[in-house]
Amino acid sequence: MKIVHQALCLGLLMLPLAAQARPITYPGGWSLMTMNDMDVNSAEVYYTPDPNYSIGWRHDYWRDPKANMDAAQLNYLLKRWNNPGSQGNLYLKSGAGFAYEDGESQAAVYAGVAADWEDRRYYVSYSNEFLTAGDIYKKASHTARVGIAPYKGDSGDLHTWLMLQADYDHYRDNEFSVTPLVRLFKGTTLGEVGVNLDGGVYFHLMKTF
Amino acid sequence: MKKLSFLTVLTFVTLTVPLAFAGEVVHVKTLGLVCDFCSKAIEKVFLDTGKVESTNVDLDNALVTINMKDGQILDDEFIKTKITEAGYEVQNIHHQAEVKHD
Repeated sequence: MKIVHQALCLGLLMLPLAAQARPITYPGGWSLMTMNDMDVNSAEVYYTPDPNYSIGWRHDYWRDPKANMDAAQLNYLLKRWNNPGSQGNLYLKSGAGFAYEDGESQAAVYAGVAADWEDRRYYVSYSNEFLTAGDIYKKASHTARVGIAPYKGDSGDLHTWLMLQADYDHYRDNEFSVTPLVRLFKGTTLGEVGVNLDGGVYFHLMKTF
Repeated sequence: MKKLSFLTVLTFVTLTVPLAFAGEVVHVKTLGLVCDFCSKAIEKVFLDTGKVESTNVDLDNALVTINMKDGQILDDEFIKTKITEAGYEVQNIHHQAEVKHD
């Protein structure tokens, strides 16, 4: 089984880089984001002062061990590909702060790349994150997605995506998971809900102002 | 008397001829425009200029329509900059002077 997991992880690494939701919006844009799954409750707020980067704050509550993290975050747009009918993005995500557990705190740092490509029918993304918070928590995760839109919505319509997400985290007991999910997107509001093959609920909400 | 006649004619013309020049309409063909979020980003960056009445995004044709306020204009370089700030690229720009029938 370990070999299968390693092969899947290697496969994910070889996919084109991609991401879940854009960590940089437009100049002057504020974004609020929450994400909940079996491992973490996460909340982010970030501001985009420039088309190439955003700054923000992130709070994580980790379920195992029961610990929290607060961190300042910097996201940077490394490359954007604008093509007729499609767009691709490559981002660098990083942050630094503190993790807390039972009154103890330790420095926490993380970094990763995230990328996506989409047209109006298909979507593919990949992101990874490497996080260390001393003895409290460690993470080395890879997330990949493929998605398809059952119809092509125009501006102002409700956009629907059916997606399949694969997650791998080297440090979790349940290292590998697959989550079918639905993404609904209208204007600047994005919502996602899914249930992984082990029954774990995934929920993601994002709003940009 | 001549002055009075001129003013009378001018008033008559102003009140009866239903033509008025309104803001320019700019059509921008773009690259990378694929999602509903795009239209909000476009709207945000152009409305912030104070010169734009409204914007419209046609995802099927990757076309952005910018409706300028009366008497306002934006040059092509500025439009390219704003489209890039919103996250997309310009293929071509077409200006259309709109004549509004009141």
